[in-house]
Amino acid sequence: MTFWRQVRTVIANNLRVERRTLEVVGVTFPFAVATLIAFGLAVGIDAALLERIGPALYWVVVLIFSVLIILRSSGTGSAAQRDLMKLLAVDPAVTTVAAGLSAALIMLVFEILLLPVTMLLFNWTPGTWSWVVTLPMVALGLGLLGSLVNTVTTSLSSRTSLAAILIVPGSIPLLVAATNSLEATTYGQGILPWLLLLLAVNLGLGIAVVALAGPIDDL
Amino acid sequence: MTTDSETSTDPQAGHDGSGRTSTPVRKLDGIAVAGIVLAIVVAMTVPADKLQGDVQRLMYVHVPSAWVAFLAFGVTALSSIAWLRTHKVTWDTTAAASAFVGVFFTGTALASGMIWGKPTWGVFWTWDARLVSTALLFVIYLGYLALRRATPDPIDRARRSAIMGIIAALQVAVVYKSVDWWVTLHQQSSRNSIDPALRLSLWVSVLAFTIVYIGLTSRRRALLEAEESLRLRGLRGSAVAGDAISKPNLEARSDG
Repeated sequence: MTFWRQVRTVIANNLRVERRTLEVVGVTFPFAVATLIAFGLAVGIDAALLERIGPALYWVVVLIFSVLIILRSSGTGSAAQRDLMKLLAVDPAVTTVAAGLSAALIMLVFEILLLPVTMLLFNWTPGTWSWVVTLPMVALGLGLLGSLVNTVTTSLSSRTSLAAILIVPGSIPLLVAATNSLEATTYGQGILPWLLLLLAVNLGLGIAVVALAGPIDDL
Repeated sequence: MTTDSETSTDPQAGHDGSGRTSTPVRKLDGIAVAGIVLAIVVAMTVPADKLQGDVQRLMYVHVPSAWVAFLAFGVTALSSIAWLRTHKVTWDTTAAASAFVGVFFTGTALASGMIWGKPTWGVFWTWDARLVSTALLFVIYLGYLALRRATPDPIDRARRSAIMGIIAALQVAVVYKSVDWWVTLHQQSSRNSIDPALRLSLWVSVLAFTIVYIGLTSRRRALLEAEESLRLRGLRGSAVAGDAISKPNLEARSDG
């Protein structure tokens, strides 16, 4: 079985677990909607202001809720599952890459679900194609970073707070690129530098995931 | 599984075994103090900046602090790679000590930048790319140190923190390039346009801060290795499970 075929099989398994538990769609997503509503209520009834800050709030909610998505119980493989993968002689890189990519796919679903809600609540229209590119690239970055942090903090008693302090600051380049690409298109400027930043961050994280697969497997 | 190379410590690194600091570390302390005194004298005697006045002298603290922070996190990343390759405890303690000192100097760079920002920009804090990315770098390495504290097993701790030490280093590149990538208030690199007298003073400060970094890292590393050595010594002398159970007296039972 080739490397990518093994990765596809593990991703399919991870997504199947998510489909059965519906933890992200059924629990995290409604919580994110409630947070967006709370933000709107806290800002007040200034419709113009709400419209202007809508996209920024969207990305902040995506960033913060990525911690919940990464740390969801259905996304953390048990020790028995990890031992089984080792017994099956699955390449550690397959496990780590698949964990990162499946987290990225789930993040993308979350982003897509949250986008129309934000548009509706904040009376805001994206009006640009840049979202088609930025959404999957941000999801990929968050998925890769999240899966790395997830494995590093596995089984620690203070895992939840530790993962948050490592994921949120680490993913700021993604937030900066996402918000600035939107601003650039709004003012008719090119978004290529921001897409290159997203690409560079994702490339760096991708290399880290593959290069550190061995040590991660030993955790 | 724990191997000899993973757990072996070198208590001689900074101490002579009797709890006293070794001669090389003491010499380094002396050089660091002399360097700092020289840097202060030079920084206070060179002419002030024509536009900013004496406020500019904060540059002799701010720039070296930022440089030492970058150096420290670079050393942490390289030591983390070295630990993953060799599993020698000295690389783990070097990474931890360097990150600890790096966090201190990042805090110093942030504080001095904010103090400089008030008279220059009119505010202590602004949403400047270099300022924000440096603050996030500070938080990430606080997370690194928290990760170390949260992992009791030394080998597990070394492995987890080595992975995190490498990932966190990506943020250093973001901080360094932030003034080029974003249009911000923070000035871009000015090492070629700076006045020669000011440049000389800056270089003296950078050198002095670098020696201080080496001294602090050596001391911190020696302390971590002494702690590890003490832990291992404690493990050897401490009671183990089953110590309280005595051998049953079967002969007495057969007599009765």
